[in-house]
Amino acid sequence: MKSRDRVLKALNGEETDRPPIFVTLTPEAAQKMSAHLNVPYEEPYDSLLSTRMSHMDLLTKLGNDCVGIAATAPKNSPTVLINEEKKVYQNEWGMQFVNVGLYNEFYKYPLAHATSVEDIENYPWPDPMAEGRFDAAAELIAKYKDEYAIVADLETSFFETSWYLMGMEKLLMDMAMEEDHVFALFDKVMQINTEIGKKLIEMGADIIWAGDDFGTQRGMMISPDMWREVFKPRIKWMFSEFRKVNPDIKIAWHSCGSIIPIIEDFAEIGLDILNPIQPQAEGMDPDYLKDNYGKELSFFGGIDIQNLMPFGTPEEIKADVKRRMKILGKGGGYIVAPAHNLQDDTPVENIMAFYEAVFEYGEEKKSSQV
Amino acid sequence: MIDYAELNQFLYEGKAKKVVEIVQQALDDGIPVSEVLSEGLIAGMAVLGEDFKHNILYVPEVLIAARAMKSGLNALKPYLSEEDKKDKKGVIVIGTVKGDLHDIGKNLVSMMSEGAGYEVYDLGVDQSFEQYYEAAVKYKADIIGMSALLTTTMPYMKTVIDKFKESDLPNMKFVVGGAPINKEFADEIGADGYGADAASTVEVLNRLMAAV
Repeated sequence: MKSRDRVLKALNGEETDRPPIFVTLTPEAAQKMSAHLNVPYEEPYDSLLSTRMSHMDLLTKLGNDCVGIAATAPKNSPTVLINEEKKVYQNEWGMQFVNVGLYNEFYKYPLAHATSVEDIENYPWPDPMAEGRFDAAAELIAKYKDEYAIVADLETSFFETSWYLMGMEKLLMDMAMEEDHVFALFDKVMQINTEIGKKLIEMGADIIWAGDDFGTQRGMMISPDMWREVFKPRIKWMFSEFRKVNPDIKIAWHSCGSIIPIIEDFAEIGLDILNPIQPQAEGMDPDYLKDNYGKELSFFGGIDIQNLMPFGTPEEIKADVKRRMKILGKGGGYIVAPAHNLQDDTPVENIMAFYEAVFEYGEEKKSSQV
Repeated sequence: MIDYAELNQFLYEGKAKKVVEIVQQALDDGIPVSEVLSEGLIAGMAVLGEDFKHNILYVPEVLIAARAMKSGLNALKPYLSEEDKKDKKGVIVIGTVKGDLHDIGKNLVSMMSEGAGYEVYDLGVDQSFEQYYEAAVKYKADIIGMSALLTTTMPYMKTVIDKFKESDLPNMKFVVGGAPINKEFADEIGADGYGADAASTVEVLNRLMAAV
């Protein structure tokens, strides 16, 4: 079965030979896996969430059924190293990061000073249609579209990108105090990213993977009421814009953490796929989710990266992955994946155990039907 | 006269200016600092902590309230006598562990503990054993709080605890927390307490201090 058909069938609520796979890796994990498979290491793209579109040759060889695409920095404003000594980088949005080994962490928020709508309007915003922004996406589509499902990544759709620009504490406080500049910022970022998302859909994406983290380990980061007032109408608008380009586009939303109170709201505004079902987050239980939302939503993710993948044994991983596929994949509707990028702390044999578990599950399913 | 219910309410709503106004008025009226602190600020933060724990309040509201609490505390501080300072519940040194720069949860714990009457020294992020140790000696810490968001940095918590065991402060108490941390991990690395959220962490601190 073609990977692309497997993905589309599963998302249309049909049983497939096995659930489709979409793993993503951090550069360090990709380096390890490339060495393990003895394939050349592919450098990551210059994109805000480059893990979602990078190392696709390696990942399809490992067994991924989806290929990620995204917008990159345009030709005239790549991410640049602005302070060699401190390893500070600045991207086209004006966000500054410092490299701290395995991660880039924020160094400076360019809108930390903003107190008025004018401060937002006067900011030098990126041009969504800038030259070169979609070159990598076009190449990836040309290379993989026949065989694989194309997933256009648009995570950090506006809430996260906004706090990357303003700083999280300031943004949360200004939002709770209903300061106009916060809503102006959300709208501006949302418009830019919606344009980018629409372009990626037009180019041939099968799935648009939008997202902002609204959950913490223990529950919602903001109140469900505030979410319904501030975020729900904006997300609804984004979804309707996406469907203007392709009414059949499958829409996924990524939110880490526990977001139980708003899952129904997401279903109501037309979400198709919920990601990443972070297993250790309060209440994000696969049985509960499949029983309560399985008719309206597909699921994508669900494999624990906070303990199981880095610290579990290959046997434990196989048992857990199979158990979750059985629950979440019943009657289709599941893309099996770790609940985030696999990173350097996950051993090669654990990553192999994940893939083997899915393939074995397919074999077991086939032989039980004979 | 001071209306503590009103002060508690302004604190709850995060109205920093109002909180400072009432605190200042109370102090000008000669109301004991310790009373304003306990009835006005600590009592107000206790309600807030409970409501945060039970998902009635969320991070943005708590951040605003914590800022109001800080403003109130700053207004009080010049009036605190040596006698008042002795009443503190304990000394906490807190920080995010080495390699990890995430601090919102840690900041909430820090503010809630301060709001609950602890003397809190927040070291910030990316803290090594040496930094925790120096601060523990300098401030005569009763408890050290460690936070981590990353699975790649959480093992360092054990390093810190082990190194303290080998140091001249082998009985130092530790409370750990952060997204990937759970009770089992806390027990496994020899921590004395696990803080599931900011309000529960204050309860854990209270329990540990009561046992001292």
